[in-house]
Amino acid sequence: MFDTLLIANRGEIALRIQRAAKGLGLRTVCVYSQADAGAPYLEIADEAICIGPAPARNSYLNVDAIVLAALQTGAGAIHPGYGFLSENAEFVDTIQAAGLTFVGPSAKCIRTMGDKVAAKRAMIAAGVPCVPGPDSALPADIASIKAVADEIGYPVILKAAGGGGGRGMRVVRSGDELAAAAALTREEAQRFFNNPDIYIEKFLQNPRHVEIQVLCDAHGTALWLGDRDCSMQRRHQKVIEEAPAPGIDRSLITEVGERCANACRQIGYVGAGTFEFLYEDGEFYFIEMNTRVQVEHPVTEMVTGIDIVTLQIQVAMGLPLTLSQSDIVTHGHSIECRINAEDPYSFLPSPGTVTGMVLPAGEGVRLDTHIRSGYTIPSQYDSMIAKLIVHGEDRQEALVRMRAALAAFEVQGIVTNIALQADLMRDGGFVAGGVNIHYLEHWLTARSAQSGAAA
Amino acid sequence: MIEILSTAPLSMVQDTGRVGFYRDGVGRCGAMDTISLALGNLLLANDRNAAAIEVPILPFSVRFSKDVDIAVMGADCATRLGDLELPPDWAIRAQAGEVLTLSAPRSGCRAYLCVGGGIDVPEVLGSRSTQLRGEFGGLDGRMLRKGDQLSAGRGETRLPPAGMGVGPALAALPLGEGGAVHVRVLPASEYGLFTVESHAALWESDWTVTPQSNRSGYRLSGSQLRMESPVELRSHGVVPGVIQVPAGGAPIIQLADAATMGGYPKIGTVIEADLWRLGQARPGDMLRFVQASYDDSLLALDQVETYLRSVEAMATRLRGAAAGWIR
Amino acid sequence: MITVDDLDRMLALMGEHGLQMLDVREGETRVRIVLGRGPPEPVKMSVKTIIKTEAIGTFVPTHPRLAVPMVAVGDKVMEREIVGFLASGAVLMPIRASASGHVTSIHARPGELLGFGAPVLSLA
Repeated sequence: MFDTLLIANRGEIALRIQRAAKGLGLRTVCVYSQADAGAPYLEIADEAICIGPAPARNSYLNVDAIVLAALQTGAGAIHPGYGFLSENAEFVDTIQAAGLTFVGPSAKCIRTMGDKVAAKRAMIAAGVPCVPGPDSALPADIASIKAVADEIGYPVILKAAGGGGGRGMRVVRSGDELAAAAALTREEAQRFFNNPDIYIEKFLQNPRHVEIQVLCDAHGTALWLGDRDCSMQRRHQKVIEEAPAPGIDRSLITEVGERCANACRQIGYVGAGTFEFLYEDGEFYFIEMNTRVQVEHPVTEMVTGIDIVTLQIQVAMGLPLTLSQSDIVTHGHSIECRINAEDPYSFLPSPGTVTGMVLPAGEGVRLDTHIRSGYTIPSQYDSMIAKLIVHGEDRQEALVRMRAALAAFEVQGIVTNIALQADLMRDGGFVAGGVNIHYLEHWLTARSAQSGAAA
Repeated sequence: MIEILSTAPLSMVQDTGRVGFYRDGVGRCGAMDTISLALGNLLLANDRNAAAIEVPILPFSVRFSKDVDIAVMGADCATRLGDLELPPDWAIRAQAGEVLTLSAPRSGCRAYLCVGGGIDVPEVLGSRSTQLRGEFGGLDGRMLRKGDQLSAGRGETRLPPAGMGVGPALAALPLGEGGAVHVRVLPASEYGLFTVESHAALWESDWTVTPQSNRSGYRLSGSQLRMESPVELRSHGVVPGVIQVPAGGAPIIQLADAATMGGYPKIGTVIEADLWRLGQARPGDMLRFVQASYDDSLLALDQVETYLRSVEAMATRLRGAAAGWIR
Repeated sequence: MITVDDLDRMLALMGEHGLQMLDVREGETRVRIVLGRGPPEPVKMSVKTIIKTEAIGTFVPTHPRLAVPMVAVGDKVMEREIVGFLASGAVLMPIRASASGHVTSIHARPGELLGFGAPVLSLA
């Protein structure tokens, strides 16, 4: 048990975690880089300590500096948030060697899920549906690779075992491309992920991205908290998320959700996590598990009424979950728009000083943000400055509320993607629901073609 | 390369000692202050057992012909590396051409110059310690002298750019109050043959380290320790820490370079975990003996180990953080 | 903060561009450099350097084995000199002078937990 929680992150999630910690009566310690000195969320921390220079590799990725800060401030536990060190097994090892608690799963679970081949093998063993393809790394000789690919049927996708998040993969459409593609992917896998293993899967042409939120305690309880649709992506970055996923048979979701919870029990998973799936033609295919809280967790919180971050901390304290699966009922519909400090056309980041803000409010509107007027957005990090979340009785009401909230939301002094989000909330395809993961890219391409034609 | 520019006699290469050759009449040797040696090695990310130069008499100076990680530990002797004054118990990267000078100590007795990877001399019977009696180990089995060249086991640095240090071991492992060096002592086999007055004197009086003290043993002055009646003992094994009492009644504590056999009656033994405290006692210093049980002695060893591990963990963490700050 | 290195750079730039006078303000510090032989205007040269931590730890101004602090107000320090420590458990990290000068004030309190880049003392 601990009474002080160190938050090894920045921005909106640093604020979100602090709120949960304070709600539990915990002292909070925030660590920050020199670029984040003076950030508003540091003011509400019981203690804040600078852990290094602005570049993340010197500060937010500096494992030993963060553990040192925890020891110096008397923090008994470290919450990693998302990104940075949240899925770094060595970080967990270092924290535990120092006698501290990591808010999240064991290093072993993180390692298993970080190795995409091992993860797939564990999922197949637990009965979670996976993309067709072997649950092992590819052999070196091209004849064997070809045989595997022929059996799966083209197109196939080659992926780095150490990759994830859309990185380290290559689509192969015919047998004569296979040898060159395998060599290249293997080389990239070694270079970027320090693991030359690659594996092969069936390439799904037009899938949706649907994911299952799980939450598990250290006493054998594993719950799934419903699903989210995060198909609106640009360059593998989610832009809009919603819960539940529109137009999918609920009994199928339930079956997959149960299998995810079961997989958690089998691998001894503790904490919050997400099973990411591709969904196509009524079938789910596991792609990877994120062993942390995710950016889009609020949409699940809105439809279930469950405070995921609070429960995540309680689970790390060793407390049992008092909920059972039958207590988890989803109600209504929730949508989240990521608000980024970036140009809505070029997507170039737009760091700078916020000179004024008008915040959206109203029934069913939630804004998770760390910025305020006068805040200067550092250029070194992710450009996300806010998450606008709405809840409605149904998807239609949620859409109406999101349109109104986006119309009311102003951030002055910098450029944001609010206008882009507003356009998307009126787009016929999105409004109809159930678009695939390529939809937004195509939409953006069409938009630039149109504006090019108009000019 | 490390070139000895000036040294008094008795500077020599030592590690934690040679274990397992008593039956051949080969004693332990090894650093007199094993904690300083261990701390220096931990700061440098060396093996705890890596060899260093033990410097009992100052001044002492060396020149480095290549960049090398160094740590100067133990006796608090005004230390300069080039024109930079170093704090006590400090590890830093020395640059090629720099001269390290250790001046007369303000406190303590023996200084240790540890280097990255340890002093690279051949291992003899499992140790790099100099065995003066047998003339082996260390550098050709002898004391160091002006002009000697030694090399370090490692060239690359494992230190944060500005170096790092460690607080005094005595603060972490305190024992006794006042100016005297306190060490815990187990009564030895002939303890019961000494007079009641001698027992009282052993535990309650101040003992002074006399000038007849060296790595073999410390002769003490203070009270006279007397036996009820004289005994004749056969020669028997003697280990560092044994307090012998020759006929004159002035005790001698056997230390690192002690002979492996002896015939004097033994009144007690300084526990293993406290021998390092004697390593920094110099002639004229006061000693006090604190009676300990066998269990106390084992617990004391555990405490030393826990302390060294905590220093190691923190030094490793700081090394990692510092690498992270400049990567 | 203007360091000696900055001054060197300013002088080099002045030479490069044939400038006779340079007046630079940065925060509280003002530096005015006038070249040539004419009597310079009476400008007080006050180059202030703030020595900052390069690690995390508890501020220890006096080494535990020494009697006096590494530096006191008024002391002259040389670049690279160790002016204090940051303690983490038993291990000490140095606080080094990034420039030479006289200590004008000490900002950190003994025992205070200092983060990376925290101001420790000022030199002039």
